Amino acid sequence: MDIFSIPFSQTGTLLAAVMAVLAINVMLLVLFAFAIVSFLKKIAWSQQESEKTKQRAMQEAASVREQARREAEEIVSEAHGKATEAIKKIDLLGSGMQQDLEKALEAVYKREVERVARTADQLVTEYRSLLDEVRKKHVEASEAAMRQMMEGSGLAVHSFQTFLEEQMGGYRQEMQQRMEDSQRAAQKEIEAYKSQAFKKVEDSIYRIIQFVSQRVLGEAISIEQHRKLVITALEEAKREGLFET
Amino acid sequence: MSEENVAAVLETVHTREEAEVLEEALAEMENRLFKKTHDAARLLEDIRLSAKTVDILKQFVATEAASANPVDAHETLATLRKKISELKMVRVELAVEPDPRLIEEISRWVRTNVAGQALVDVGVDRRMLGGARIIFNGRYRQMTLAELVEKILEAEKRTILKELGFQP
Repeated sequence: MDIFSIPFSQTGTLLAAVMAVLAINVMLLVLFAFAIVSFLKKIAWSQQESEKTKQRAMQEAASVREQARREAEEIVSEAHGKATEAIKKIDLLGSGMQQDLEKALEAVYKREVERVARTADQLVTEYRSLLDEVRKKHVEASEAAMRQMMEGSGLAVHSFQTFLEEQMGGYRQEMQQRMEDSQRAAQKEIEAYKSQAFKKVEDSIYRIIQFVSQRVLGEAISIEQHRKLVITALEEAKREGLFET
Repeated sequence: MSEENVAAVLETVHTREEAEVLEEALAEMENRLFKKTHDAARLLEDIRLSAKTVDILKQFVATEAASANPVDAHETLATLRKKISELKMVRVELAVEPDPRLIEEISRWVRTNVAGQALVDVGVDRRMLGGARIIFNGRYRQMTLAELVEKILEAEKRTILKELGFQP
């Protein structure tokens, strides 16, 4: 129904009704606004409380973590210190021993090279005795080094000792192998040298005999013997078919 | 010069040296045939050839001079030279300087044992010690004392060294 079609006599009543409705709506809006404000206040308080709780929890967690970190650091630091100390001792002794080994082997090689250059049989004898001596000394030195390492390190743990003994055994075997190889190589070199020297002497003697034979024959053969030899050579050439065309 | 005389001249030449002297003499004779003096006969007086060779050549010169036909004589000498240059050569190398007797013996052996006529070219190689090295038609054989000594020493090397007190 269109509002402009209502008769004028009824307009006052209608206006009053509209006003009443509007007033009720305003009241309802005010109440609603209060409720919303109250709700928002509660939410804000709740958020603050939550933040505070969270902060506390984080602080507590950080505190625990820091404590745990400190404790872990202390443990690790202590362990690291001990391990470093132990490793340092082991490394120092180990590298020293290896250097000793290498020096001993190097010395043996140098001595061998010099001696090989001098002479043959004498060298073999001296070389063998030298090797035995060096081998004994080296074994003694290695054992002494191991004892010193064990005493010095203070790590008298059975497993560690076993480990070291295995390592030492390995070194000994390697050294033994190297010395045997060296001995074999030197022996081979000596044999080659002897063979070469023998060949030189043999060739020299051979040349001397050849020279003497030639001189003697050159002086000793008469012209008659030369004649016979020439005719014999011609006969031989004929027999071999040289003059056949 | 008859065919027989040509063959006779060739038979008198035994060594390379003799052949060279004869070739030189024949060449000179060829030149003198056309000269007025025609003194080829005088040339033969000083030549270093065997008496037999010289006699045959003198006879040839006398005949040709009588016939007065230098063209024929020239042709004959050229033929002789060609035949000499075509002779086979046996080179025999010796360890000593050979005396004429040894050269003659070698030549005789070659004439007897090598088919056809062959000249002997004698050389010396003292390193051979004795024996001979013979070269013919691009092939060679040798039987020398040096070779023999070498073989004996090689075969007896160990024994000799042992005898000398040098034990391997």
